[in-house]
Formats: sequence, structure tokens, C-alpha cells
Amino acid sequence: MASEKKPVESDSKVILVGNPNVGKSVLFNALTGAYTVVSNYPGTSVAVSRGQCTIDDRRYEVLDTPGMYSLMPITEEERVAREMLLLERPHAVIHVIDARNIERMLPMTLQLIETGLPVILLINILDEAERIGMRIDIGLLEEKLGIPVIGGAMRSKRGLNDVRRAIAGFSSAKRAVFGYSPELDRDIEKVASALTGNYALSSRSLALLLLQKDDEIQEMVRRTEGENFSAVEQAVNQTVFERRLDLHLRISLERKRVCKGVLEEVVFQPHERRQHFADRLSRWTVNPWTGFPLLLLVLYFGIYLFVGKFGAGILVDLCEVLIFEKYLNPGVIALVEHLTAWSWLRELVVGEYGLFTLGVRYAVALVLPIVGTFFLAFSIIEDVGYFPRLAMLVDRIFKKIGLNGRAVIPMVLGFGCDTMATMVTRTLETVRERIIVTLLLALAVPCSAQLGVILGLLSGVPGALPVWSVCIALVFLTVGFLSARLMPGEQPMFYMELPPLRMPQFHNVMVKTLSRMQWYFLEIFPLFMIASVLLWAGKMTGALNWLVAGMTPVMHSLGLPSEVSAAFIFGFFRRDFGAAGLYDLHRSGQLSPIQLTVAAVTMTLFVPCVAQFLMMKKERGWKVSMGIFGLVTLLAFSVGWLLNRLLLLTGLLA
Amino acid sequence: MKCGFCDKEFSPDEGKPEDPCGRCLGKCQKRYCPYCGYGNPLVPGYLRKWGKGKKPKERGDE
Repeated sequence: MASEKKPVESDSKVILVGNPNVGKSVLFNALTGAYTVVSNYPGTSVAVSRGQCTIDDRRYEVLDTPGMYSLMPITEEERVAREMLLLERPHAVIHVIDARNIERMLPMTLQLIETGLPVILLINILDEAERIGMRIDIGLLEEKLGIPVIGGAMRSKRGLNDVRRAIAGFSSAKRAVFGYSPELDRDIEKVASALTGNYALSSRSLALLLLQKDDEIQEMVRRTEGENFSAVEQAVNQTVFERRLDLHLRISLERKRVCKGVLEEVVFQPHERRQHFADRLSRWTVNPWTGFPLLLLVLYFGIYLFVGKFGAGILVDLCEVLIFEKYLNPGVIALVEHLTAWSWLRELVVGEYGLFTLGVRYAVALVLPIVGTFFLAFSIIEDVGYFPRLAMLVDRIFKKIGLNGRAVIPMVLGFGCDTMATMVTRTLETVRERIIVTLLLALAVPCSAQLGVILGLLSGVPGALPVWSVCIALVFLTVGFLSARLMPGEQPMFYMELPPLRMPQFHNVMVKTLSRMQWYFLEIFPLFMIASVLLWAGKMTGALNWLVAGMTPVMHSLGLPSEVSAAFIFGFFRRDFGAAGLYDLHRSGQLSPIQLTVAAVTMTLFVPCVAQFLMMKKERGWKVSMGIFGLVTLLAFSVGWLLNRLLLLTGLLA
Repeated sequence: MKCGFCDKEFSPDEGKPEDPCGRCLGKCQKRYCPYCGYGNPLVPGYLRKWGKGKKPKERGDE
């Protein structure tokens, strides 16, 4: 925090704060008119609008801050917004919130009141809230919060005069004090009483920020307190050590509890609104009794039917059989044979591992339709707002495997690309969680193309898909459970604010799907070409045959023909490339239902692709990544061997 | 841009990874949410233009 910077001396300042998209700029324009200046906040690249307004012959400078979600800054915009609150010495701070999301936004009002700043609360977009049947008792809320509260709709200038009156007649004489749990209040008091300096924020607010480990506030307190800082630091560290809990989470939950109390008898929603289908559905998605059946429905319709049956079945048939095999392949093969008599060149372009017959065909006809349908399903689920609910739903199960709901983020991303997901594990709080998630990603989370191809492969064989699903789920849970036991450590709590559940927007879904498809295709196409050239070179030099021969005993022990070795070798280049190889073998009738299921399970669990391995090494180091590599290889072939024996013994899928 | 996971807004510059995974051709095409870490796809220019002129769903300001 640049506390050394001196704010420009000017008229009394009015600062507008609030989440993005709540109407701050509309209020700013309504207050200031046309004459405004937009410039970067000193020392940053964040634009801040400044304007003037005159109320009762007194001039005020109005500042529109960037959107912020809480007083604990995470982004540069939030940092600037907080700095403005700390340094500009405002006459009034207007917190603008969206009436429809009052419960979600009120915790920040509480935070602002706690700071001791002169806060005015503007409940904006009240017209739309009323249209959906909401009623807010502004007077009662004002009484409960102890600050001026105004209801309005700034687009139609409703309530603007009240805002102007509130600015002109602002008095911070009375202010409510909110009590947290006695234990938390004692902790806050302990830290607050250790502070001796003069601050722009109240000591209670500073104590809360210090307990939440706000580095910038800590630095500011260190500078202000001088020698006394060690006493403050000791009070903070002692509290954090004594509680052994995530204080940040505890404070957030306490604040939410206080808000709930404040809003009682203040917000009224008609029966229909309370029973709105989206609200009920939202509750069902996080309740384990209804959430898991709903998850199964999402997987059945979104992944199995849409990606597996439609993408990997109908679309691949259309692209591969009709477009490639019927029209493109014969034409290109004839053209190449006409243009060159060199067999090695023919082999390179249109041979068994040819650039066109393997590389282009796999990328365009096999992987792209599957990945396209997967990305479409993924974008719809994402746009609906289902993923954070999934995180809350699986939090309890994930705790059994040493993780929490936060681990859903890399897991979900892993279904898109495991390499990127491995990188995202760095956002997890503990090293233990990072290692467990990296292992599970490498072992039992197939990427989108691999998953799609496998679903397409197995859905045609009765019983194969349930066997594959049970195997992968069992391996995931068993390995996770054992890892959590073998690597004891702290288990951070997980809580996240749920965004509203809503209908997917066509525009959003299409933009996200097309963006993902474009980047994916640009990424895989050159790699598929390189893999084709390497395989061609391997074939021409005999190295590929040597590799296949080396893997043949392993394949035979799994009950698989030696041809499957090539698919496993492909899989190390890229997981989707390997799955496509398996798809090819199945279509040429070289695999029985048991062999297909065993190969699909083994390949799903099989070693991560080169890129994922390199990312593992980068994130976790050589020792851990080699350990994971060895463990995954061993587990994949052991589970494959065991499954083959079990299926032969029971006659299942025979 | 808005995060597809937590729904919070952040600037694409803020979400640019310092140490990307290196899979994308050229520059990194993901933007990671500073609030939750979720990887959001960077929308290519021609698709961004498609969205221009559309009335936003939320009655907001920024």
C-alpha cells in the first residue's frame, strides 16, 4: 500500500464503492453530469473517474472506484479502491448494491461500517427487485445498520435527490456495532487493543484484516506502530495459533450470519419468489440426497448421451466414414500416388501413420467432433453456474480423500486438459492437497477427448461403460483415501459464495465453446502432425516395431492383442491420440468386448502424456513426479490385469 | 471478463499467468481468475466483436 502518496487536496470527497455492475457509474454520471475526468490512479494502471457536484452551494468531488467484492483486495482494481478509501479522507462513502442481491452484497456494507468510514448505503436497481416481487423496508434497515440507507433506481434517477440530501446532511454521529460470536469478539479485541497508532480505519476493522493475514495492512501497521509492532504481531499470531482454524473463513461466515439477522423483517419476498424454481433447484444441487442424482442426470445427458452418443458416435461417423473414408481419403491418396513414385513419401503423407491419413484424420474427424461436443456441454454447465455447486456437493466426499471442495476446480479443468489442471493445483492451499490432486489427475481423470472417445467406444458394448465407470471411480476413491492416510496434514475448510443459478445464455455458451475449440485445435493440430512424423520415422527405421514388440508381453498379460501397444505408445504423446488409436482398432473389429473394456480402463489410468508429465515435474519436482509416474504405470497395468482376470472368471461381458 | 466458476469480474491482464503451462501456440490463451484460480478461455478478437452491440443482461455500469 502506497501510504506515502499524498492525495490531491480538493473539495469534500464522495467515494462510490461496490461490486462491479451495480450501477456505480450510473450514479456517478447522475451526480456529476458531463464534466468528468478519467485518469489512472497515481502509481497504477487502474482508471478512476473524478467529477464535481454541487449540493446546497457546496462543492463535492465525486470519485468512482473500480469494482470491489470485499475490503480484502485480491485484484489491482480492488487494491486501488481500498487505497482510495484509506487515503482520500472522504466526506462520505456511498456503497452501491444491487437490491436483487442484497444478501450477497450486504457483508461488504458491514465491513465498511466496521472501518468507521462515513458510509451511506444505496440500494440500487430497486425497480427490478420490486418487479420480481421483492419488498425492502428501507427505514428498518437504516435503523438496524445505523447509517443512512436509500432505495432507488439510478437509471430512472429514482432516489437521486435522497442521495444528494444524504451527502449534504451526512452525520456520522450514530453507527451500529455488530457483535460476532463471543470468542471471535475476544480475538478481535485482543488484537485491536494492541494497536496504538492513528489510522484511517477503526482498530476493530484493522484487527479483522490483520487476523485475515492481509499483508498490505500488516505492512502499514508495521510502519505506523514501529517498536510496538511486535506486540501486535504476537497478538495476531497467538490468536491464529490458538484457533487453528481458517480465520478468514470464520470471519466471512460470522459476517454472513450477522447479515442474515439484519435482513430479517427487512426483506420480503412473495411466496412465488421464494419458491422460484431456480432457487429450489439450486438448493437441490448442493443437498447430497438430491445433488448426486442430479449429478448423475447431468453426466448421463450432458456427457454420455451428448458427447458419447452424439459426438463420438453420430458426428464421428459422419466425419470419418462419410467425409474422410468416402471422399477425402481416396482423393488424396490418388493425388499423392499420382504426384510421387517415392514410397517413403507416399508413406509419410498417406501411409499407415501418414500426415493426412492419421494426423489430419485423427485431429479433424475423430477428436474435433468429440471435443467440440464436450466443450459445448461443458460451456452450458459452466454458464448455468453448476460448477460451484458441484464443489459444495463433493466437499464432504473430497474430505475423505484429504481434499476439499476447492479441489473441484483443477478436477473440472482436468476433464478439459490435465496439463493445465496440473498447473492450477498451485492454487490449492497445502502441499499435501497439491500432491494428491496431481496424482489423481495423472491417474483417474481422463481429458475431454479421451473421455469422449472412451464413451463412444464403450457405449456400443452392453455393460462395458458401467464396468469402466465403477473401475475408475473405485481407483480414484481408493487411491485418494490411501493418499490422505499416508500423507497426514492439515485440511483447510472450504466455503464459497454461490453465484445465482440461471438459464444458459446462447451467446455466452457459443463464444466460450468456439474459443475453447479454436485454441484446442490450434494446439493439437501441429502436435498430431509431429506425432505422425515420429510414428512414420519409427516405422521406417523399425524402432516402432521394436517398441511394440517390447510391450507385447505386457499386452498379452492383460489379454490384449499386440496391436494395442501402438495405441499406448500414441497415448504417451497425447492422451486423446491414444484413445483415437483404440477407437481405430475397435472399428476394425480387432477387440472383443472384454479386451475393449480392459484396454479402455488401462489406458484411462495409464501414464500422463508428455506435456502433463513435464508440467508435473515443473510443479512438483523430479522426485514427486517420477514417483507419480511409476505409481500410475504400476496401478494402470495391475488394475487392467485384475479386471481381465475378473471378467474372464465371472463371464461378465463375454 | 467474468469468471465461469465464481462469477466474479476481473481484468484479463490480471488473470494472465506469470508462468503458463506452455501448451498454447504462441501466447497463453487462458486467463486464470484471481479469486478462485479457474482457467477461463481468452475470447479471440473476432468472437469478441460478435458480442459487441449486444445489450448486457445485467443492468449495470461497468
